[in-house]
Amino acid sequence: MRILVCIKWVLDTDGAIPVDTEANAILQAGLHWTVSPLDRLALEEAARMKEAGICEHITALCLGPAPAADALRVALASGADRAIHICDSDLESADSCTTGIVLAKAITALSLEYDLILCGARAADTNAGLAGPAIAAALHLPMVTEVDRIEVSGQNMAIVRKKLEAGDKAIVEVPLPALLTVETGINRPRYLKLRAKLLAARHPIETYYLRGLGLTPGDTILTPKTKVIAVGPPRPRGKKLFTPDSSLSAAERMRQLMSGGATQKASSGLLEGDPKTLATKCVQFLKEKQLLPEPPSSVH
Amino acid sequence: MTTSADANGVWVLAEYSEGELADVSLELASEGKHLADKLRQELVAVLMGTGIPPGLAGKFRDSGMNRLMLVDGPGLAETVELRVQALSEMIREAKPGILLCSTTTFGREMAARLAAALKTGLAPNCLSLDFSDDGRLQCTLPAHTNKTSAKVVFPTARPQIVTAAPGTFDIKRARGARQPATVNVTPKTDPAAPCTKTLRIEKGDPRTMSVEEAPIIVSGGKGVGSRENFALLDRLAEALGGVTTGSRIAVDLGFVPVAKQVGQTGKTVTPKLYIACGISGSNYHTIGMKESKVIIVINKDKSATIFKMADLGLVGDLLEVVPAITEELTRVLQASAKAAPEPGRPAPARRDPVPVQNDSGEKK
Repeated sequence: MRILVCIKWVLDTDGAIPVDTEANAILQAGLHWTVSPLDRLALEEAARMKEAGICEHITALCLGPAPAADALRVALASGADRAIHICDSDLESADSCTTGIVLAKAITALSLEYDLILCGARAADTNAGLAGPAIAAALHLPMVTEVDRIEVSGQNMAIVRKKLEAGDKAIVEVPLPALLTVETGINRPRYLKLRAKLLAARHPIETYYLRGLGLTPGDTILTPKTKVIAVGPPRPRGKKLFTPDSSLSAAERMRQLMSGGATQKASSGLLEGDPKTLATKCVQFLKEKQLLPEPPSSVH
Repeated sequence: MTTSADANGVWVLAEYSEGELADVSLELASEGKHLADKLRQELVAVLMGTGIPPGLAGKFRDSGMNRLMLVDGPGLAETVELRVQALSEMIREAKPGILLCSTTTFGREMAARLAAALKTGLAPNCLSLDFSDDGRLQCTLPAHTNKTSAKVVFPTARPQIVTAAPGTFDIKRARGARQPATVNVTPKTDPAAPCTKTLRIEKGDPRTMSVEEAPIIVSGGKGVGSRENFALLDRLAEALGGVTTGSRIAVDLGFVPVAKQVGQTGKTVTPKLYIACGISGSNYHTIGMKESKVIIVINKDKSATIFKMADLGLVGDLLEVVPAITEELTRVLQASAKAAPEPGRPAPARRDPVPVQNDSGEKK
């Protein structure tokens, strides 16, 4: 089996990211760059499959400016066999969708063989999670997003576990070749040893420009679909604060503020009594509201 | 890719689970109404699924929606690929300018797949939406894992696909709103397209899920008294299939970890059931839990503010009442398990009607 891993070179978000509020841009000087953390997990997962003998060959692809070649060094040190860098001045404003389309073009133009394409579920900077789906759409591949476990069963089928809400997981069967985007929890990427890094530093990285992929600069598919027009300091997600109705009396508004906007519910009043009676009434109430859990399945 | 010139209309991709419309859909509808009014365009909601509950249409009465499109067809509920095919076909025909989705598993996945299929962009997890002078949508969203915020525009690609997390926008009643006209749409899907197959759903273990996601919460405050006493709440939470959280004082006193603090300086939660034990109800706490669907309050102090928001208020010593409830609950559950020898109490209908595994999944 052959695996392609698509990675992105992003600003390391472990530290603070200073913003020039007048220029509406990030103050780049001195900032550290890294492989987007979820893409690191994708690399690690591929490397583990190779070690387990499921996969023979890993190709890492990265689209980005010249320094993004460093991302491919990380990929090579984590176990990739081939590194492909797509770099063009016309791709500087590429958004997630365009990136996905160009990566798909590259995969076709370079006739890369694959049974599985792995991507991070979303990049640390844009957070869109669109590049993976865009590749899958362009290559007409089945796709499962936000996967935290991959089991390849046989030559052309994989059983994956997809994260849903509230800790629920879906077990999904996907025919190969397919594209999977990986989520946190799938693995813990290894520490890259010096030897692996030194070997990676000597490994060739193939660089392709748009023309080499059969694309011409200015092609309509390269038009950016979204554009970042300003970057600012983080904005806290607003917690909804209660503002009382101005038509109420001052005393009533004060009372509402003190209770955090809690209004008297049309409840059946307060229940008093001994704990046993209260418990019975409480469980009865839960039953009425259909909030009781499923009965224990010991009856099986 | 549709371009800006011919795109018209604001669409909201609504979602429902267990037969109920998600609140976030109405929040998006309110924000959509605001955008549509500014653009003087129509507002349309899209509901997709298999056997959509007929009562859902009525929920949009106050939202100022012009039309509600019901896309009902086999396979739509469980297969995301078919939903994307059907909706992208509808979008290609009607060419809406804006599509609002929620940042839930359902909305996030639909938004990304639609953007890919329609070769347009995506503004994820927006915090606010407004228009630039030339009438383009400007989306403010967190970037670099919320170390920065970014303003994003869509130069030419349409629809402008935007996602927003539940709770980002308020539900407002639109002026002069009427029940929107319901349009039934027959989905155009190609069953031969590459598809994945969901084999089963593993239920999450409530003890390991984040408090924001937990459907049932038992919360304790200063009145719990000690860390040892807090175990009583843990046991009740376990019996109910929920998690325990605490007020700020409970965290300060070391009863619960700070990750489980609910309130102004902690998490904001909206569970189906919130049981407040030994919490007086200062607004620093209630601000984080007042949107809970059902609230039960257990407190010794009859005059505690929190009783105001209780659906059921129990006046008593929680050290006696909580174990009594746990005991009664276990008894009732065991009795009902015996009464129904078949394990066949139907599981509640989910959005994805696939076999539900009742076991709580693997223990971490």
